[in-house]
Amino acid sequence: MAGQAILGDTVLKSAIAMEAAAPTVETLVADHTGMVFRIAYSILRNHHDAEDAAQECFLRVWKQKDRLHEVSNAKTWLARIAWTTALDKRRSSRAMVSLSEVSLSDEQSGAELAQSIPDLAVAADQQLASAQMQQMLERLIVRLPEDLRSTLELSTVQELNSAEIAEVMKIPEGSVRTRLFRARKQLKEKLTVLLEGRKHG
Amino acid sequence: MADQEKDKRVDEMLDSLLANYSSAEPRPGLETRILANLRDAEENKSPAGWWNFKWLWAGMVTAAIIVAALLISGRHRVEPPTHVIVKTSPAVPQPEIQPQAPIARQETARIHRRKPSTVPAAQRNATLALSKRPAVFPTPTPLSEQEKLLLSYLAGTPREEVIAESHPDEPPVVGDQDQTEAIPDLTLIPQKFGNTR
Repeated sequence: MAGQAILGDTVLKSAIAMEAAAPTVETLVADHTGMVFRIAYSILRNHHDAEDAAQECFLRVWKQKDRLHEVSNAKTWLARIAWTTALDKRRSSRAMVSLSEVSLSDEQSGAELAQSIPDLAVAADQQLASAQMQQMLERLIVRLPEDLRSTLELSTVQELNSAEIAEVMKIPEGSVRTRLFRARKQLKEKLTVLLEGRKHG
Repeated sequence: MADQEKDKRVDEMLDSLLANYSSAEPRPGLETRILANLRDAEENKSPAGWWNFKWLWAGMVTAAIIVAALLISGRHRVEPPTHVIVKTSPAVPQPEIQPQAPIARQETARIHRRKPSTVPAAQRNATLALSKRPAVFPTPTPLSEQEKLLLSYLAGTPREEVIAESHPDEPPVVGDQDQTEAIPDLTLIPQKFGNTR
């Protein structure tokens, strides 16, 4: 009898603790707006689109507010919603579609990219941070295969580590590491070729 | 050596570029805008939900009314009105049971004959056959055999005997005056057994 009372008390306390620990939409907004925005920005590459995606993401969360107590890891759950929202928005965005469907030949695109690379010998640190280099990197990332590209984009968000990216993408963590390695290798090869072309041309 | 240095340099450049790839910050007030948007969604949801709920109820009530009307009309169509006249007299055995429908029709026709009518006979008969409803309530029926026997008995029997038969449990009354006063008016008796059934 006493054991049952203790068990019931424990269950009640844990239920109260779970109720208290269950996040609300307001706390999620307060804690994770920056992460949601950066995930959306990593995919959409536009401030306004990223903010719209963040709004849409929290609207989706709000529609599921009655089930928030069932969420075990609010951060990755929210990150996944932000990721899918941004991907949906990118699919429906004509601007991004036109950017990804640029049908330049390799020579044309290579020459264009090579011209966009500034002279590294002048002031490397300043130029690496320049907008031109960022645009070049974006173009290189756009040409990556979709799985490598998505994984790399999520990895650039500082708040997410490999395990969390794996949970967001619903793939094993080893696959995340493999994809990141392959994406980085391809980017490095293309960047080297471009730098060589700039040096000799 | 030069290749390694070049490779290292490209690595550093890639790290730097990727580190800045998603380092953007949202404009100030994004949280406030998101919360305001959620508040708007919360406020807009309630009237819409109630509106849908109200329409749902209205639709259900309308459907129930239509179904009830169909059921009632269908029941009226299936079940025609039936008028059964049952005569029971368990105390006296009936010599012969006559079918009631022809008698009722004859009486109804007789009543119609009394009234001057401009409706043709064929049309009147058709109307009667269709309606199957008696024109007068209660339905006038002729005297049965038992009633006729009772009337003939009363007509041929002295009053004293009838009184004695109608009050079998009462003790006999002594005296002519009392006996005369106790005798009811027998003129009312045929009306009592009249054809008002």
